[in-house]
Amino acid sequence: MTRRFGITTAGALLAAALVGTVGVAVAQDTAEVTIEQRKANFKQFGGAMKVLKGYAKDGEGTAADASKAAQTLVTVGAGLHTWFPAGTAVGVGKSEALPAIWTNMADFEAKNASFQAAAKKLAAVNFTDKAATGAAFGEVGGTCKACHDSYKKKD
Amino acid sequence: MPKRRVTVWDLPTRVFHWGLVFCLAGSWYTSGDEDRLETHLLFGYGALALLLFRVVWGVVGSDTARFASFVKGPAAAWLHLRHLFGTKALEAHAGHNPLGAYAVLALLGLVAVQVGSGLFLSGGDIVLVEGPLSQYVDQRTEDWLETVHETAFILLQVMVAVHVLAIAFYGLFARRDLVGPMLTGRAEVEGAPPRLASPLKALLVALGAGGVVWALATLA
Ligand code: HEC
Ligand code: HEM
Repeated sequence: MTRRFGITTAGALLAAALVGTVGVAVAQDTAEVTIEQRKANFKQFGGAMKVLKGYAKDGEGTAADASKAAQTLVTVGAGLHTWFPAGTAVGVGKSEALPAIWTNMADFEAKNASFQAAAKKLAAVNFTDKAATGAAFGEVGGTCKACHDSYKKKD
Repeated sequence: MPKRRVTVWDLPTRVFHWGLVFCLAGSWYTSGDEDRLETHLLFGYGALALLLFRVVWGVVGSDTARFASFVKGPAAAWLHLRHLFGTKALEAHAGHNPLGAYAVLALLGLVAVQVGSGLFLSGGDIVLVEGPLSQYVDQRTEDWLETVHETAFILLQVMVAVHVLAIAFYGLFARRDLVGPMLTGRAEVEGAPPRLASPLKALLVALGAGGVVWALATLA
């Protein structure tokens, strides 16, 4: 009887351990998916900035291309505050998000807000005016950099 | 046998060599920091053009530059190693020794892997900077190629260290100056001087290599 009890307990413990491990693995997996998705979004930012820089500084593409790129920053960027759930800092997957994000959340949100404002200003610019486009582009770039300097790991 | 002072390394091969040193040093200096990424790509294109030139020059170039003339097989390499540490004097041949030939192949091969993987990568902190072939691979492949790019560079550094130490060894212990000839092109050799290919041919090959890289960088 005791022996059977022992086996049952061991079995239950083993099962619990398995479920626990799988649970952690799944959580790890979702975190990694979140990070991959987040990086893909930021990469869209980078692509949009490439188009805007090409237009404002090197005369590549059209005003419509530039406008579309600015719109990408606004629409994709609107979700930025949801891209950083806890448990996605440096150390998980390929994350380069510094832990300081979660300890200074108010400041992180403020940096996000200044980016949102600069992106909206850029999207509203008259794109045929290259000087104005260039200036608004520079402002957006400054807000990207301000956040990266504090919250993105330097490699 | 009488020794004569002749040209062993033609100008194109020397320009290739020091150009590669320059481009590799430059791409090392500009690596890692995303703000310098655009310059990193320029050095990479330079290295690629040099590599393409060298591979073609290894088939149609001067005697000492041709792979067929200096890759002599493992037995010859082993014999050279025995002479190097033995009492018999080293023969004063023009061009790479049979052991150095493998170092050349390893260096060129690693540079090929280094540059080849780089073409598919992308990065940049704020403005996206893309290798010309980056758009044709998915993120997973790109991540893998990034590991290849980083690993190849570690191996390349090891090979360069071996290369430079070997040259220092020849200078100090075998009393053979290899650096001078790679700078001036000239050395004392026994027997017939190596046949040199025409500079015009080198120019055409260089234009071809440059053209291919230019097309890759701008059109892809
Ligand atoms: C509020 C903070 C914040 C703002 C604003 C911000 N970023 Fe980032 N960015 C980050 C963090 C944090 C990471 C690291 C994310 C990770 O590795 O998971 C990152 C990563 C990136 C990456 C790298 C993605 C990858 O593939 O590794 C790019 C590119 C990027 N950002 C571009 C931009 C651009 C362009 C802007 C402005 C238009 C911008 N970011 C604005 C915080 C910010
Ligand atoms: C930056 C890294 C370097 C790389 C990647 C490199 C690569 C190469 C390659 C590919 C060759 C074959 C040349 C050919 O046949 O065209 C070569 C040969 C040679 N290199 Fe370098 N090199 C480097 C640094 C140096 C340095 C710093 C020196 C000088 C101290 C040097 C001296 C030589 C010499 C003397 C040869 C001819 C060797 C022989 O006679 O067999 N190299 N190098």
